Amino acid sequence: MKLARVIIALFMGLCLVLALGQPALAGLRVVGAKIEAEVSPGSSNAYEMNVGNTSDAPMDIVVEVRGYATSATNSFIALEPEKDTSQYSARKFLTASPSSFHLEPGESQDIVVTAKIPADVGDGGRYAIVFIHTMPSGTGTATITAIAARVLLTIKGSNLIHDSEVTPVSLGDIIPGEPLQRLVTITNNGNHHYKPYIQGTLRKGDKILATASIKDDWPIIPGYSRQFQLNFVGEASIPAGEYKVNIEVKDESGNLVTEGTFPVEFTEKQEVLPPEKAPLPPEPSTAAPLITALLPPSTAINWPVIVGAIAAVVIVGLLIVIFLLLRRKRAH
Amino acid sequence: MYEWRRELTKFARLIAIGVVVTVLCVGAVSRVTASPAIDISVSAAKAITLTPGIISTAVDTITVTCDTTTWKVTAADADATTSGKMTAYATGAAAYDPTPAKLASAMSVKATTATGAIGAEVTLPAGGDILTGSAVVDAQAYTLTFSQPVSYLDVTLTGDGETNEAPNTYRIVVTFTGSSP
Repeated sequence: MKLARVIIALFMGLCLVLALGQPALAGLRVVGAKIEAEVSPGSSNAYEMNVGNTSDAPMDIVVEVRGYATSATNSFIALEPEKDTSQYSARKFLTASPSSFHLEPGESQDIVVTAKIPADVGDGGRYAIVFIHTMPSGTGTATITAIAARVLLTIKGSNLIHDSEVTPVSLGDIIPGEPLQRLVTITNNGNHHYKPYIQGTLRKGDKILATASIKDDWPIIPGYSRQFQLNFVGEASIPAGEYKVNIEVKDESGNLVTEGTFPVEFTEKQEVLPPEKAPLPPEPSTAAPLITALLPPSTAINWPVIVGAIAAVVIVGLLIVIFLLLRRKRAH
Repeated sequence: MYEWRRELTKFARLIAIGVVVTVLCVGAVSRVTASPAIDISVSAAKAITLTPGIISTAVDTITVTCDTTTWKVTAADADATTSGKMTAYATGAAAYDPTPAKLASAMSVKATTATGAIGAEVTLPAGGDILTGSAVVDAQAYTLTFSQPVSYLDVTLTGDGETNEAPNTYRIVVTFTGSSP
């Protein structure tokens, strides 16, 4: 019996540590700073975020729904409404409430983002950014602190198209003494976002002389392009001559989205990165990890909940075992 | 038989307490860590002393906390009035000069750790990624450096700042945006 009490006391202590052991924060905090969900045409959906002031000064917060764009070098841009002309914009479907509020140090506020999806919304994905920001502070160089909570909505039951175009930017450029590091632009011509996995191979005939690959966690959204640098890795430098570069773009499921082959000519010897200095990232897995597979596609893995649930099961099991042991002892 | 039942009741009570405490704690923990959770702060902006003929700099600190391994912080100037260049501003009137005098060069921003540069130096207004994270961070501080080239041709402001026609300082608002994929 004493042992059981000790275990419960330890467990409660563990809970206290977990509750108090949250990261130290000191600014604008947003919890649940992404909405990624499947939505049905004609449906109304509500999502909650929590905005906190973790600084030691009061804050005035503004919540705006903006367009979601990318550029060659920016993986997200919160577009002002007048600049948001994408046919895949979700901005007009979304409202955030409250849209402005004041937070004293340590206070937090729930905001509800409501997505009302038109019945005739069409196919593919719809995108926006919930832009949560402070007001400017300071003179001279004033600053605004902001969190861009990206909204990626997939229209349920619609025809999702992953299609892209790959364009070489500087495949043939020669930089004497520099390893072969080249830029390509990937344009999403489909109607749905994907996280790109890009593989490049430098070939002479059928022989592969160097390879490059990039796996990016930031999706390319339809109608926009992003630029990626391919760092070619090979066993030896490439002599001057004519070659071909093949580029394959796959989505996060490993499905081929697009590919292209481009002739390049090196007028002098071209260095490549040695293999040990540029480890290749792993291929994206076509099989979903076990825990992810058990969850709906739009659900992020919440490790504290999973660990807490496992701990609860273990502790209940321990208590039952202790009870049975004590009972047997008394029976003897 | 009676004692056995009493023991069972006590243990059932303990188990119930354990389950309730677990649920409450898991609820509390999940409440504050619903992923992704991101927190950024920029220390109170310091005034930048503009000296003609050199690149004037000001240093601040940006602190990032994020519970996902991938995250970014961008810097940009979203104000069309300034477009990346410090612009004449009247502090008393809290307004930019209606026919704004701007510094000739755009401001640039970069973030570094104690061990050296980890992010690109970006030029406003478009800016870009100044920090790209590949690990969970907990109140990780980075040094922010604002760099502003100043020319002898840039206008020296002589107003008192009481009206926006009499600007007394140059100003720009830099937006630091954090996000997680």
